[in-house]
Amino acid sequence: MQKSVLIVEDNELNMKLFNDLLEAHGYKTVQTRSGVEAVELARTHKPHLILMDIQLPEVSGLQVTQWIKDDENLRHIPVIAITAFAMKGDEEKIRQGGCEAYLSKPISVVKFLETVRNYIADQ
Amino acid sequence: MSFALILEKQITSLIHPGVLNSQVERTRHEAFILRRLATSVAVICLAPLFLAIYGAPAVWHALVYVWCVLPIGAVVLLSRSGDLLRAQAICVIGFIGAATTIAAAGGPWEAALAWLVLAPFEGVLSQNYKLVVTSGALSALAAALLSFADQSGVIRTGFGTGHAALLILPAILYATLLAYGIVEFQKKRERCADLRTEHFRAVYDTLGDLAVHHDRNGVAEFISPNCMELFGLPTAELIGRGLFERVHVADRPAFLKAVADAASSSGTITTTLRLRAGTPVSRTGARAEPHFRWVEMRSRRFEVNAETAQGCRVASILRDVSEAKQRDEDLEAARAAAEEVNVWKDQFLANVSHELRTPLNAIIGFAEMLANAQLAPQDPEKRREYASIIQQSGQHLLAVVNSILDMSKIQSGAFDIRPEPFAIAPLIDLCCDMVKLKAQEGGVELVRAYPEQLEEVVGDKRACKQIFLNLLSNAVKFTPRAGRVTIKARPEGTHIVISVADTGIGIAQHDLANLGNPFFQAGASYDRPYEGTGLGLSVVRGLVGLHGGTIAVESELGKGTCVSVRLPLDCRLPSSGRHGTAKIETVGRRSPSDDPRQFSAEMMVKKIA
Repeated sequence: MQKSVLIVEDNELNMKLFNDLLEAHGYKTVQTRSGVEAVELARTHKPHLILMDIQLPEVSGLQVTQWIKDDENLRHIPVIAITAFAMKGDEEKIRQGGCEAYLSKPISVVKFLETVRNYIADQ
Repeated sequence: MSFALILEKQITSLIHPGVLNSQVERTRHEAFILRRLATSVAVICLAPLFLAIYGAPAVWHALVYVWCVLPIGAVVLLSRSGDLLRAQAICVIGFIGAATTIAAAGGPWEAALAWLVLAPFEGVLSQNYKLVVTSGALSALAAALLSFADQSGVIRTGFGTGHAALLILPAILYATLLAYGIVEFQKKRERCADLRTEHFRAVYDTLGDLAVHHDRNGVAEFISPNCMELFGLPTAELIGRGLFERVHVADRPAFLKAVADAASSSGTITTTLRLRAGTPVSRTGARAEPHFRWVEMRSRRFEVNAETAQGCRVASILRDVSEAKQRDEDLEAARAAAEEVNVWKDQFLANVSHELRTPLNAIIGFAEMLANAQLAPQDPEKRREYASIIQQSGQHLLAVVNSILDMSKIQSGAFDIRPEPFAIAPLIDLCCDMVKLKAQEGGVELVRAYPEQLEEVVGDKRACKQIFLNLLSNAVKFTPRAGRVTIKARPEGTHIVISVADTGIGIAQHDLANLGNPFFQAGASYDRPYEGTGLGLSVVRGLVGLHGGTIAVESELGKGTCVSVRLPLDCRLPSSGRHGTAKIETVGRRSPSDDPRQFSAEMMVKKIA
């Protein structure tokens, strides 16, 4: 069965990068640039993994992660934060915010694919 | 009213007004008046008794009587002229006159001699060497003359042997020397006391602090004389409750507590309070505002001889610490400012990092895909698209770097503007064209509401283009789909006003103050809803400032923002007042539904230097 990934990212070029990388490796993707929409999409598509940008219009990625982790039906989906917030303390704060993994931008493509593979293989 | 009080009042009324202010002189006069009046009154009272015993008086009796009441005249003289020395001289003449009369008339000579020996002591009261010596000399002369007259048979004294009067001379000499010694001793003591006073005066002056003694209730019993120099207050104003009344109302409990604590403990109690210093009276006679000085008060108890004063006292040293306090406050303000700058710096760095990493992610990611044989797409069309994305992101990165450099140049004053005449309408057209695509993508309508013909402007064309472009792209960026961005331009005297209004998200009142600070974008960092460096408006602010223009921002949360830039038609004119960064005048519009009556009153105007 094809594994699906929900990508929450407001920068269209970065969205395209993540999308193309995942599709080239046989994953199905669901895209959104809105945090509010992300929760709805997670409910309808039941993705195996969520890639979460932290700086988003309207609500922050951390808030969206909180909503997902508060929802019994969505709680089990791993959330990987991919963010340009890469100052000291950012990773800790984001992991405390409920994200299973943290990747800082700019990403290493190899490490990105490896992390995605790891979290999807666990299921 | 008791007899003593009446007497005291009567005596006080006799004192010459010239000496009322000097405690020592006044005591002397009082002593003189009281003693002499008492003696004279006693003599007058004794007169009937004398008459009863001896019958009608002889002539010399009457004469001695007159000599004895002579001090009343001296008291009257003292009361009129205040001349103690002369009054005392009259008394001395009285003594000698009485003695001479008694002796010459053949009365009881022992009594006469007693008067003569007493005379030198009169000078002790006024501490006058001359009076002591003169009185002694006059007494001796009188004794010698009496003796001589008796010898030569001119008069009949009561002396048993002719030389008896001469034998009194050593006694007069001794009495004179004794009186002289007493005066000398007193003068020395006085000098010692003066020296001590001077010593303390010098100590207080050197100390530069106010010394106070108070009882345990804070009533001041002593105030050091340097009070005037330190706080511009005469000592008399602080004595008693004066000090307490000059302590700031809010600090009075602390003052009383410190004094009470010091009185009941053995340690030094320190407290800080405000003391109302003397209000300087200006030349126009108007009194200045009450002016408080910060004072550090150190208090410690000390025991006073239980017989003269009851219980313990508290000694306090009051030090003016206003300047130190001011320095502390300045330091604290500087520290807070430095801390704020630090916070800004951290945020600046975090934002720079974020804004550089975002385009770098696409650049490095796509580049890595193209470079990797396994990841590179087979489709050449796709490969070209990736290369184009890399280029596009690189351009964006370059724009961010340029903004940062521009900002840093403006802030360090290294940004040179090159004034040249140019037509402003075509420039605005050009900028509109540049953001048109972005506006179409975002579903935002771009309205150009300015005449085609506008006056020519002298300014830096590149800088002006940057100003309009930044304002337009900000407006487009913060305006949601189906919104509208309107750009207007109109001449206004020697200026031209360009305004960009949007129907976007608006700016909250508390964020208006930070507008135009580099990297400030309204909202907390993780929640920043829109990407962007926040450099746009701060670059605008800097460039407008370099042209000598001003910026006004009017905004209402959720309703939209209008940014107006006022540029001089010719930025080379000195009146345009060019400086580093322009002022931003912000007006937070409150929604009329909040309180319709106060709509205009609630308009908040804030100026940012």
